[in-house]
Amino acid sequence: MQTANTKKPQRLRWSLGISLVVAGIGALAFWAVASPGALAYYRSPSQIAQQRPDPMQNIRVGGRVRDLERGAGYANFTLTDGTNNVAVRYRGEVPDTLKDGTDGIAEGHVTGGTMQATQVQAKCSSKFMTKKDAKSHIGSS
Amino acid sequence: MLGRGLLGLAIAFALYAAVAAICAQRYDHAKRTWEVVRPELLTSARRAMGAVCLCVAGASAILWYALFSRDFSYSYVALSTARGTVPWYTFSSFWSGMQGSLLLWALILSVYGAVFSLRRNAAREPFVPWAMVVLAGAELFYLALAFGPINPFARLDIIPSDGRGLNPLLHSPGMLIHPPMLYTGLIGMTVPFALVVSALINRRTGTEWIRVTRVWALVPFIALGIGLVLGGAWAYTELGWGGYWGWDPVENAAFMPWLVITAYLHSGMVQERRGNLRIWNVFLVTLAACLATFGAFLTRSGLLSSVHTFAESPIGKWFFVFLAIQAIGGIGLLVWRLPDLRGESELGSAVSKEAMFLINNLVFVGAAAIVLIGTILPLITEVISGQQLQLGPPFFNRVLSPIGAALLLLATIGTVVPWRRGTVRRITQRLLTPALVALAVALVVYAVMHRTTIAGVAYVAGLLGATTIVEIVRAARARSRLAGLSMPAAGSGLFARNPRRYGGYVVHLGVAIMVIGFAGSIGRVQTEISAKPGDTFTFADTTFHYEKLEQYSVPDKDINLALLGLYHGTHRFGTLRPQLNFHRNWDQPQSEIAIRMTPRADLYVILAGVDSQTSASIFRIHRNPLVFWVWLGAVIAFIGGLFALLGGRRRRAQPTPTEPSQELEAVA
Repeated sequence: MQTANTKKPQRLRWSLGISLVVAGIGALAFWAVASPGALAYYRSPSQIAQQRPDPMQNIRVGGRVRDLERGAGYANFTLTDGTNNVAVRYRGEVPDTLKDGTDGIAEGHVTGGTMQATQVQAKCSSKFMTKKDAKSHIGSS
Repeated sequence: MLGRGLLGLAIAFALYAAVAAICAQRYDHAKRTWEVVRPELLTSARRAMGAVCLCVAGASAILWYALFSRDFSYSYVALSTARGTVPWYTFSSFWSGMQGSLLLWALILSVYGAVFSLRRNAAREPFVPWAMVVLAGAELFYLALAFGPINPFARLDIIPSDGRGLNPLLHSPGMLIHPPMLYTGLIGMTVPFALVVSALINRRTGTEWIRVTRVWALVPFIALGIGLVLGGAWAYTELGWGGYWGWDPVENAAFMPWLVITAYLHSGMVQERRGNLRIWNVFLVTLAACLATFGAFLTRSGLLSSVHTFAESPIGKWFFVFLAIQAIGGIGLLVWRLPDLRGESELGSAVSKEAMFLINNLVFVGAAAIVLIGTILPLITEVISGQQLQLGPPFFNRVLSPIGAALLLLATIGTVVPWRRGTVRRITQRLLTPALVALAVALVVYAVMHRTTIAGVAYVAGLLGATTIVEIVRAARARSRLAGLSMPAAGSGLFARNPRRYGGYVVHLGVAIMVIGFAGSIGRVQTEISAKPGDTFTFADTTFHYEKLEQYSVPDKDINLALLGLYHGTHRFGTLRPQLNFHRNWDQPQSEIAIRMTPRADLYVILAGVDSQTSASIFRIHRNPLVFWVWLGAVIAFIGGLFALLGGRRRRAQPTPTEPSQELEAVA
């Protein structure tokens, strides 16, 4: 049995301990957000065309892939949203699912309208297709 | 017409079940809870839940029949199958689109509803009537959507001669079972939620509620776990980027409720043992259910790409309403019943099992919160500032690696520390052997991998794994000494007598093994090589001999198959057959990845391109260390989970005896 005397400091200790754990998790999250490559601004090709982003900013751009050119250790392609394009230069291996006509995401820094990508991803939107995509496919077959 | 008619009938039955379950009860003002006053009406409501399930199953059978008979007058059939689609992918094409998925959700929920309501115990448990009302209500939501705006039985005006067929990316055995498992997990959270609502309405959030809820929380925990692993396996074997987990919002959406329900499975034990954490448990189940709805909603609503596409998606706004009702209703009910939930006893010593469970709960929920914020940050920032700010995989990896390590350590200490109060000295004693075993594991891993980070992770994971095994062996030895049994008999006796505890230990062991596999991702290497048949090249200590390129056609695709002989020096140890296929209906190439898996590392080869004239081929090759251990650990964890679920059922009717292993531990 606990007396009122021991209860109070114990509750205080628990509150202190719980706050410490929560604060620790919060601090961890903030540290991770600040780590390089964690945070990126998402822009469409049109937004980039309208307003050139700061070359220091980490930008992520998404669009339809066009003119994909793969080489040993590099890949060049264009991401388009229908109205505007962004040229992407990438050193490294782009994923297999990245092809002309698929949706892709590139991340990196934009200088003079060209993105030097540090990361390229194929968007696997095909996993769950939208109705519109599906209809256009029927039409073509 | 019949399919939609059955859905209409199911709606009628669900409505009846909900109304009858309410009318079967009366609020007893003296007891301040609900009492069943018309048992026959309750019985008919329970049967109506079964009827809902039969109707939805019938509607689903009709859709499957239409898919198999290639009835392209249904637009859904025309969109998801083609004449050439093989039977098992015809089967899985049921859930390849939004309409079919919705029907699958309704089907899964109706099965849960029927099993929940028709169990033998359902006639006795005081939670059942109101829980049935919630389940029927949720079922009504899915059925109304499938009956109205998202109808899988919609017809086409012009019937096409052939369908488009299933997306080639979904041509994977994983797709047969991954989506249903994931949905079984996500939708399954509705049952513990229904129990929480009922317990709050009935003012019965005590031990009996915890005991009934445990099984219904374990089912979605296991199903969602399998779903997540299968999703990873599918990404690994089909998508061809060499990994199995990319912190994709769809993955995160399924991961969050899993984290929260895992937290609940631990904190529920604290309430069962000590009567603490009642408010917290009610909150956790509500949170898990809301996150599950959010997850189901996220995968289908278009919310991921932008808040704007979400508004256009036909399913999005409905789900939003559903989620709002669930969250506001659940939290509102909790606040309303707060006076009844109060009056908890104090948490005791910090050196106790309940303390470890409490900290693990904070960490699990903290992890879920971080994943949630990371997933919806683009949406929040888009609403606030008009531009999307996104968090990438480096963020998630950085946050969740230390969190994972902390959870492993908590599980280790939690295994050896007793309830109420332990001593640091006793804990260190019991961790001595595991610490030495873990050191050996870490040294072996270092000898193979030559990476300190991986060896460090292996130490932490090895500590948990070794602790688990040492504890099982210790208890078995004590039992064999005490009862004069052989070691195997004593060991299996342990599992039979206390499947919850030892099943849980096996889950921990599986997770520890998986974590060693996760750490292997640090040592990944990859390359891209262009070669012609007859060429030889070397990568990661392996010599690849490109023997030949086979090119042939099957009804729906053209196939390029490369034969690669694998050599260590002159010793041939295997063959890999990556393919690059061209699906005519889809107008796109699709790689079939070839993987050679060993405990040490996977060789993962993608045929990325073939020049039709010269046969020059591009290979992308990854060497992924320790992936084997991810799958092995998952299988072990699954077996443990199954043990905890099914082993416990047999004993539920008996009054809870004092745990025999505890007595034995005292002797040991």
